[in-house]
Amino acid sequence: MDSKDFCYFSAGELSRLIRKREISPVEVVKAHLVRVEALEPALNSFITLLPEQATQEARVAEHEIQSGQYRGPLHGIPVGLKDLFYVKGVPNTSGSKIFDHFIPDYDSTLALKLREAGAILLGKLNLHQFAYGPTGENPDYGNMHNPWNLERIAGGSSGGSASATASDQCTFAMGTDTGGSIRIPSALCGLVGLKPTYGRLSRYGMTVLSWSQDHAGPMTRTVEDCALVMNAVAAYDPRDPSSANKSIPDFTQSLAENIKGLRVGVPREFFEDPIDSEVESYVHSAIERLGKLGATIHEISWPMYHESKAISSTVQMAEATAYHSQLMKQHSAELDPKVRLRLEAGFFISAVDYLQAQRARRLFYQKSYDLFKKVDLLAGPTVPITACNIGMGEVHVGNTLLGVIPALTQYTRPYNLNGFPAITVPCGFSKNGLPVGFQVAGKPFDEAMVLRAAFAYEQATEWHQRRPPIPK
Amino acid sequence: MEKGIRLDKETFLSMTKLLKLDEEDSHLEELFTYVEKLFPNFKVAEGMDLKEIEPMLTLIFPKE
Repeated sequence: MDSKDFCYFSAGELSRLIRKREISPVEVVKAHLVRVEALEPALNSFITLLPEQATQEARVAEHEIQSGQYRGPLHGIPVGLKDLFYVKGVPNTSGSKIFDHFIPDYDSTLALKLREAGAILLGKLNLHQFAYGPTGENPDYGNMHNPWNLERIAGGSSGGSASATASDQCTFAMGTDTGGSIRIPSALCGLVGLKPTYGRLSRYGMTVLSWSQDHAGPMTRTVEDCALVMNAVAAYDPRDPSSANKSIPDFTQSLAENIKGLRVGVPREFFEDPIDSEVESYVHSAIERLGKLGATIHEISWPMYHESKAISSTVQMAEATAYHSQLMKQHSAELDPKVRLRLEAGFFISAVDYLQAQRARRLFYQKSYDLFKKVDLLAGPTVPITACNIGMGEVHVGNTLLGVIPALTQYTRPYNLNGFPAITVPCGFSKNGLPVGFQVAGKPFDEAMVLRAAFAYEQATEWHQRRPPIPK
Repeated sequence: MEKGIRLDKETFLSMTKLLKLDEEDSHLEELFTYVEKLFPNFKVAEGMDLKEIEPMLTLIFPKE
């Protein structure tokens, strides 16, 4: 086995080899660091690299495994964290030079959980400034590039997490999702990305964007890896007031079950929105595939779906502006001009607008919840287009010209507003070789069902096995 | 969307003064264009029947 190959294994595959001591975490980390060095000039996925720390942690992992102290499937696996998860002693920029020298003195819960599981932190990953944008463009640390086409966006805001994982620079990454920031870059880069239920994963020690819609979650190359990461990080955390004290299943267990008899709802409203014809065709094929695997497909109507996007963006803008208001007074000239514009626009939302939007959100939650009396899952597109060129303010979606932000977030925002779990899996490639994402969502705290359907689909197709056209 | 709701330039300018935002012309013009476009979205809940929503629950996210 060539050591280069270690970069292309999933966490599941690597862990089986590491556990049997066929390969060592030191070799795995070394291979990844070599790859990072080779690809970073083109992809710009990382803000901070930690080669010495990672190598040291890999030596410790190797010693523990050799002495029989195997911690579990993430032991010795290289991970990247979006640069808004605090790690004690490591700079945390949140994608802004304003915080270039900010070094947290404590760990975010997710960083701590991953360390306890034995994962090896390779570095902190690039992001849209303050996670406030879906393209992965960043004037301070440079734009993130899509491994499938370097002129295209990686998506955002977790663009570095997506480009690093898709290009095999790390085995998996953690991202955050307030309007789609895990699922959008995952879909555009051909990955699996899970936004769990609001309250399922701790946000303690994570930079805030919109506290009532921020979610953390895994970005991986396979559904199995998503389940493995969820097993390591899902836990009630009293330090995060949004954390839900719910029982935690073994997320890998449901993968073994088939999907016969599951009721899959397809909201007709999805296809009333503008959508690229190639993307639409692949998504319909994916839905049909679920049917062939034994699910029953039901066309349904999702009340308030169309309004949900404006409700979500209003809540997000008001909360983001409130959270960053002090920063804006002191550093407005240093902000990404587009982020600054969004933050300033939030000042024009009145207290009444915000509270009414939150009340409308509650109604949307109830209407979404009611859908699950008739179906077990919802399925549809993740993003209505494939990755567009870097620097575009507007994009054609079918025959409609839309702003790039509303276009990219149109199918993801509703699940930030209701907080329901949603996953994206690759379901095809456009004629010009760009990945297409398929989104499956479930009822609150039923990530196991979402993973089960996504796994069944993934195993019945070969999309996840394609690799980007970058040098091996 | 409440399409009839608009933000006029005069109201916008008086608000920018109150908010002490950068009054440099080109930036304000860009901000006005941006906010004017989004303004109907901010009013999305106006006209919705929200009577059945218990007000005290507005800011408490369900954990079920």
